[in-house]
Amino acid sequence: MRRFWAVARVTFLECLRTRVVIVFLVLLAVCVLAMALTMEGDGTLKGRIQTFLAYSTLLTQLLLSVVTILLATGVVAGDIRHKYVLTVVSKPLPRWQYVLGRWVGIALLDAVLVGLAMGSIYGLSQYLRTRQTSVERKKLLGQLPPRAGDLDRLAVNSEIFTARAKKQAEPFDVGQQVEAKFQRLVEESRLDAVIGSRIKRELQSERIKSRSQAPVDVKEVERRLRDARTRERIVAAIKADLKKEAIEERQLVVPGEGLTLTFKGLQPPRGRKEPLQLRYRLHPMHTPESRTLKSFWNVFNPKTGRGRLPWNFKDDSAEAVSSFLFSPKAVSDDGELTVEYWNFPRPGFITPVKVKADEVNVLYRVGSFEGNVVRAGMLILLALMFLAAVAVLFAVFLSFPIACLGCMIVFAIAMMSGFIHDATKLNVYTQKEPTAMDYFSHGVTQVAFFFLPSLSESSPGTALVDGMNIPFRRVLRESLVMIQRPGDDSTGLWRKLGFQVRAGAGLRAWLCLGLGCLIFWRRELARVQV
Amino acid sequence: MWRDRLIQLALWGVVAAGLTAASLVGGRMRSRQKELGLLTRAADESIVKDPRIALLQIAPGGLRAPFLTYLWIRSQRMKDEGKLFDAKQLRDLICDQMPLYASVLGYHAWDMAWNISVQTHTPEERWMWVHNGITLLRDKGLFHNPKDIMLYRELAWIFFSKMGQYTDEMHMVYKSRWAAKMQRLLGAPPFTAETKQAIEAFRPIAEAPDDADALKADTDAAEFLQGLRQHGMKPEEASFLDKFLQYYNRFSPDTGVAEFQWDRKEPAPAERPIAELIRSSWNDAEQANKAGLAKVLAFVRRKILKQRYKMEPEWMLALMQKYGPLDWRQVNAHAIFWATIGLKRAQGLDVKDIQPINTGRILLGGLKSLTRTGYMYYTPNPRDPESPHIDWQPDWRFIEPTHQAYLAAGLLLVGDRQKLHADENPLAGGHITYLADAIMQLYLGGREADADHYYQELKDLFKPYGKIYERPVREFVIAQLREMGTPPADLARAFWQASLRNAYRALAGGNHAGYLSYHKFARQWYEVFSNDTGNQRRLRAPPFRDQEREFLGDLMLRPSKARLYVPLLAKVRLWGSLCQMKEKSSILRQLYPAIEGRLRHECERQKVDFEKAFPPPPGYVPKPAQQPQAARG
Repeated sequence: MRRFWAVARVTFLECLRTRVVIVFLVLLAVCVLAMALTMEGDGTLKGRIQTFLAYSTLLTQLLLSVVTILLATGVVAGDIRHKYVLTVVSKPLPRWQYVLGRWVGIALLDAVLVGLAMGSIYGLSQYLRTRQTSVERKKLLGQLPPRAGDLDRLAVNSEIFTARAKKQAEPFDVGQQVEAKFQRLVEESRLDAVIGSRIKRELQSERIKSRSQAPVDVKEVERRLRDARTRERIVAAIKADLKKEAIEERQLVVPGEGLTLTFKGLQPPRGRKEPLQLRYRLHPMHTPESRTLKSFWNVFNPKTGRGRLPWNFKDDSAEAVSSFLFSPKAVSDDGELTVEYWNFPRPGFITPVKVKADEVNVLYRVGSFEGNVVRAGMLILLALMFLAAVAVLFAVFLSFPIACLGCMIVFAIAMMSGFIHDATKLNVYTQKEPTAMDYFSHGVTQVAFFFLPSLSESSPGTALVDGMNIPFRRVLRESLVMIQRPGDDSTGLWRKLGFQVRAGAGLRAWLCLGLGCLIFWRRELARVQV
Repeated sequence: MWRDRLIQLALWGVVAAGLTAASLVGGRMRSRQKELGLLTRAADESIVKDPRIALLQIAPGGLRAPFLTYLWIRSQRMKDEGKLFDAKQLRDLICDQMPLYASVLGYHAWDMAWNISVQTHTPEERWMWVHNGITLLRDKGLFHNPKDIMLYRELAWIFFSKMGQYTDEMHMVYKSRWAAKMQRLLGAPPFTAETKQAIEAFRPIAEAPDDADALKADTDAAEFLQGLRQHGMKPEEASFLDKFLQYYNRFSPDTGVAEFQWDRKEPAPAERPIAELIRSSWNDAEQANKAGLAKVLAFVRRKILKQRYKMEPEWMLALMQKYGPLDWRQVNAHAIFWATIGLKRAQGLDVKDIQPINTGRILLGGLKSLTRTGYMYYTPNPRDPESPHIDWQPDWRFIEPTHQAYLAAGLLLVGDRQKLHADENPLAGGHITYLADAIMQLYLGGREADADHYYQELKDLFKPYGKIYERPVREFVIAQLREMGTPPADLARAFWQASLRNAYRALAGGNHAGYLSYHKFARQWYEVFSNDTGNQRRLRAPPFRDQEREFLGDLMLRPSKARLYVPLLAKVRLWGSLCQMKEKSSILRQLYPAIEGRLRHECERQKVDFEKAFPPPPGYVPKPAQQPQAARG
């Protein structure tokens, strides 16, 4: 193992001495500093800091990724091209240790660079935090009283320099409604008719798929109607549809009526005075010309009634995320919160509004900004380690320029993963049946992202900008693998299995390294000519 | 060897085929671009017009299209997620990449002014986003696409709908911020009942020269400029315009722009010579220096209007001549400007050719709004100069132009005056409603003759159905008010109380003529009310003087009781005007002791000199402080 570490150390020092690292470091430093001093965002202090965090982390990731690719491909491909590798492999050093050692050296260098970059970003963001908001400037000039509220400063402290978790509203409990509707079907003797019509629809769609012109067989319908398992399946489907209907009815708030949402399991730290944030999105049935909706919100502690505001009457943008801050006193000791929304009709604003429970979230602090920055750095490092592994893999059998090109393509695809997934989804944007090309592109995407990580999703910039907590669980997931319940974006296979395995960048890096070691082990580096 | 050569030849063949195909397709692409109007400017013209944008368009090279796609997706996604921190930068970058696509610029301006603004919750941020929309259209969109009518319409719509209407909870912020800008630039128009005077006050700006050389050719102006030059202000400098305007606003006795005299800061030592020059020119008995000052002022205002606000003073004057004394501090005036100037620039129309059909909703809507709110009362806010207090009253001078605009539009649609009432005229309903409102306004404002005139017009043009129209105008107005739910017994009270409110509101705003008109009307209706209820002791109102004194007391101490907001400086102006009215002396002498304490306290809070702001009324003798009684024995 000493030889392995020797390779790693030599790699680290060799890369450190190259001009590439120095040039990119200087470029990164200049760009990050320039961003901190020049970017204004949307004119508020909060916007300025958010712009800085977003673009500095993105630039850090981009520049360090390019550095990693150049260095990793350079050292390995360079060794092979210039035949330096012959002096190494002729030593009692297993080939896999050489490959791994090179990778570890690059990874260590990446760790140092990421540490420097994130440290600078943290320092500069704290510097920006000390800048004055417009309200503070006005207070200094005597244009506002000293006690005037400063929403900008409040937002900076409670929405950026924090680490918050998000809690969705409890789903609507429509069990009783569904049962009542189902019982009505039974009582009105309509259940058999409904089941029968569903069976007919199933048979019709089977005939369409098989391109049969024959009409639906009535006897088949009756046979299936008598079959207990089919009935059970269809009753479950009917209840699921009734549940969807009931939820839709609850979600739709007609003018003059209200909706109550509850939150459970909130854990705002005791003793803190930081406000919590309610985020939501309203979907009007008829969008007013001004594209704004008048809404009333009331947030209070269900046990004590504390935190009950005078009606919080505000303008909200239709179909876009809106938010407001509220007092932590509105959360009960056992972590419950009640939120009321009222659709108050006013001339020009009379429209039913849909409010989905899963789009109403409470954000509350669970950690510190410092910890978040550290975990963000770890996520960036994991991505760089993956790229280093891919670079080493390509470099063991390709020349430097080709290996670089290949790595850049992998990097670009991994960074655009979100866009590519959206672009190759089936049946999303059109009502037509997917064509062979749609299936092909979807299939290729699924296969590609089995091997490639989604760097755009794992990028921590968004979390830092929003003040959202990066849990350590996420870092672990990116390191190796995580087994969890299938999500909305999971394919049918995972849903059938009931669990999903998500491999992180770390695991994929190990796979690439394994493959690289295998290839390098079998590669003919020199030929004996007699 | 021969194999390698074969491969090379084959690849050369592929290259040649590719180049040939590209050249064949290239010609068709260019002609298609011309057909679709995508080639609007040659590259060298772009560079000359805006080198920065020309460079931005070239820099991404072949990746420009995917780069733009990425920017679009990111901008919309971030907006949907409520993340606005880089919204402006993204939109600026997109618009810089596509400056000749008017629909892109129009979309982003609308997006910022309507959608993004309501995701913010402070007045500063709201105003910033609405203003971003305006500047994107005005400074960038119209700069690159001066003939695109859609951009003018979008800009006019922001002024009319977003800023001018009342649906946005922060509409007053937009109105007051815009008024502050225009007040600093143009000052207040003269308070006068005559349209002609208001127009003549603006004429010097429209007729001012365009460049400094032409200004120097005028002897009066040259002499004044020489005076400025001696004190370090050179017209050639970039900062001259703003500096001169600032000094004029601070030091001149012009009541249209000046802050309250007692609240003015003394000029700094370096500013004293210029302050003295401006004051002495203003007060110049021989008028020559005063004329020079006026000409330089007009020149400065004209330059800023053209350079910064991209407006045309000649067109503004022509609009005032056609539509009435537009107060350019009002957002509706700007809505009318942008709605009409587009027709001139895009289609070469003259003001006289502008018909409401061209500009429809904005022009008629703007004029209607000005009828209701055309008289603006502006009270500066020393603590925040960007947020003055503004109030308004109806401006009857817009009734006739609005009526004529409706008539012109209707005649275009139906061709004959006799058919205006027919179903073919879709504007008939709006016109009738407008005239009915105007009649009520005029009547309640004491202008019975005008009200009667429009009442006759309404009946002649539209032949409305209903017995209400067979009655005289007085009964028509009363019937309209009854329809609003006001009981008959309270109508007179409603009239004189409302008129008294309007009278003192006008006086607080410095409109003496308006005060007289409303006050007379209030008096008349008080007498009607008193005559009607004279035999019912319990309904009898106290004497008018007492009512007035009580009302003034409320206005000074509890203006919310009169459903008004009167900032301290407006109270100062009101008090100053009242002290000059002899007939009010006794009321003021009775009132002063009651209001002195609270007003003194309010002045202390806002760091205002009470003695200067609220001097005792003429003839007031303060009561001696009561001495404690001596002990007996």
